[in-house]
Amino acid sequence: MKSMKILIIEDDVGLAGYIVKALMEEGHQALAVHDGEEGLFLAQENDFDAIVLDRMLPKRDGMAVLAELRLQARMTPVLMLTAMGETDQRVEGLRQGADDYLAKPFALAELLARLEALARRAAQEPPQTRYESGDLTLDLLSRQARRAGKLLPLKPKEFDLLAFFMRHPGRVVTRSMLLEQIWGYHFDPQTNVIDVHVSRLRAHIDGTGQRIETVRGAGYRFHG
Amino acid sequence: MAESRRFLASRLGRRTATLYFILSLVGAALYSGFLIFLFNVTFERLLDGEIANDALVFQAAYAQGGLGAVQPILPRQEGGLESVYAVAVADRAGRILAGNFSAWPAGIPVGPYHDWLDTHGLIDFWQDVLLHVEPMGASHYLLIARSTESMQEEIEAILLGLFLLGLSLPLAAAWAGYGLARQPMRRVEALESLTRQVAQGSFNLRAATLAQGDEIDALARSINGMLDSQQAALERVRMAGDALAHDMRTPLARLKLRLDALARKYPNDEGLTGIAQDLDESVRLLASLLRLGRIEEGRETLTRRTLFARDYLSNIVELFEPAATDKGVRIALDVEDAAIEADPDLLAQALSNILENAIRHAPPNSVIALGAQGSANAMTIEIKDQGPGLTDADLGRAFDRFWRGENSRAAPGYGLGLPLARAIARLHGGDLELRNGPAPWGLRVLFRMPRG
Repeated sequence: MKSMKILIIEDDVGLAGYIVKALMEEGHQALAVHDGEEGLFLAQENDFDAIVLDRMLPKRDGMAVLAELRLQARMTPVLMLTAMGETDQRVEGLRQGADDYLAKPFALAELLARLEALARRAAQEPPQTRYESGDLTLDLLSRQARRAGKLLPLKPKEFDLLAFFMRHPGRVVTRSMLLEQIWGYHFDPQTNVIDVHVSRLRAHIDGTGQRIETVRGAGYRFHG
Repeated sequence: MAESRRFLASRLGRRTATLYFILSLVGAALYSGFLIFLFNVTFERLLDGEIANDALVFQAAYAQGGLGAVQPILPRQEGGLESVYAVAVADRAGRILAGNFSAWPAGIPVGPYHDWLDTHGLIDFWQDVLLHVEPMGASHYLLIARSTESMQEEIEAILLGLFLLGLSLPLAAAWAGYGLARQPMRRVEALESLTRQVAQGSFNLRAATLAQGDEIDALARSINGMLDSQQAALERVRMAGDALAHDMRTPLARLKLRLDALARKYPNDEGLTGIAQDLDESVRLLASLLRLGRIEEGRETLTRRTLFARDYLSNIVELFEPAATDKGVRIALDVEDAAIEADPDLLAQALSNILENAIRHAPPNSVIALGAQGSANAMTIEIKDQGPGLTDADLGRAFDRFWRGENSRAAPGYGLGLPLARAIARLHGGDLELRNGPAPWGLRVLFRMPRG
């Protein structure tokens, strides 16, 4: 994975510090500031791959920072940190131009997976209609997936799931990301519904090798 | 419950009315008795006067011409004692010599007399006859009888008046008593209905107060005062809760990040993984509680979209289908296609809570039915399983926070799923209803919401 340059705008010095430390350990560059004005200034003056923006900030509110950035046509991907339990903040954030959101407190793996997805999305991969990985081939136009040339009898959502994995090989994908991307839901199921879907897909594509790896405490990784 | 309260109120009204009725009946009877006594005395004196006048006339005639002078002026009509006016002359042995008496009145000693004769028995006591006997000269008696019959019309009018008075006074008193008892009861009922609504969560309601400031008014004022301070306290708790949640999320986020960093460093440490899972569970519980609170208080903003019931619901069923199949449970979808306006994420959260419950309690090889029916302006989504259902007591408790049925103690979840689903239904202007059966169905959950 290519190294990312991330700006963290978070008023809690300790939390911001841990995020910076964790990102640096993953091989990224990270810079933290603790109020909205300084954050806005840095975001305007530099090219970051992504910005982590807290909703509540001193001097200038997170929403206001975001609105100002978008007004100046700065399209740096923004991951908004919202208050736990306040699900409607997500809608407000997205309306203001946020690219993703995460309810505080969040898991480190979730933050990393989402930041990587954001930076990757912004890097404008050329759109493909065919993906190949090992003995697997997937055609988005005909919505057909084959293993060793043999058509796989996938249900629509199983196909979508496989397509998502094949488009993001080697990357950690969390369960909530899958729920958002494949089903379009933003809520927290109490049971392991996603795991059941993934194991269905595994039964179709995993003959011998472990193509879809379970990453403990995070989600899944597809090995291309 | 409402029925029995109304019954109690009317019972109080009836009791007061009966008491007033009896009291005024006794009063009217005493008063009428007194009036009757007065009338009696008055009639007697009137008759006495008339008899005395007549006696004077006959005595004067006798004094002038003896028996021969009396006889022409004696009344001649038949009727004897019972006639309105009877006069006779008798000798000292009691033999009637002249007049319209047929004989000396039975049971009356021969001699001077002045008293009522009961000629009609008790019932017609008004038609009594006053008999007067006095000596006339040395060898005769003068007998004069006056009946009250001449005053019959007046007496009947008076009796009727007394009867009407005796009847209407208690009725009026009973009506007044009922009204007097009902009016405060109605205000008490209003207070009772207010406190019931407050108990169900309408803390902004207040009792109506009157200017007259009686005891019920004082009660209403003190209830209002209590509600004011309760609402203020709730507001403080809510603000404290918000502040607490806000203040907690950053330390929790720090804790979680450091723990995650440690767990990445020591991926095989079971203890660390366990702590991380416990922390995740605490955070999820706290988040669920905060979200439930926000939705219940209407602080969560709905983002309504137009959803097509069939697509939307089959998408949700599709999400849960593998989990159900693993348990040997089939989800049957019977959805009428209709457009609804709802928040897709909140609705999905509510329906997934209900579906997860249904899958948890469904026996192997059973069916969970998800149906949706729309009317012109409402939509009902029904999810029913073939599990054991809920006892009647549990049906009432199922919306209590943290309540979990006896047979789900071992299952995951915090007992917030149904309360959250109901809060979401209510936020959409609808409601959630739980029912049992009929066989083969166990619990039926009805999610109702307006379509617009």
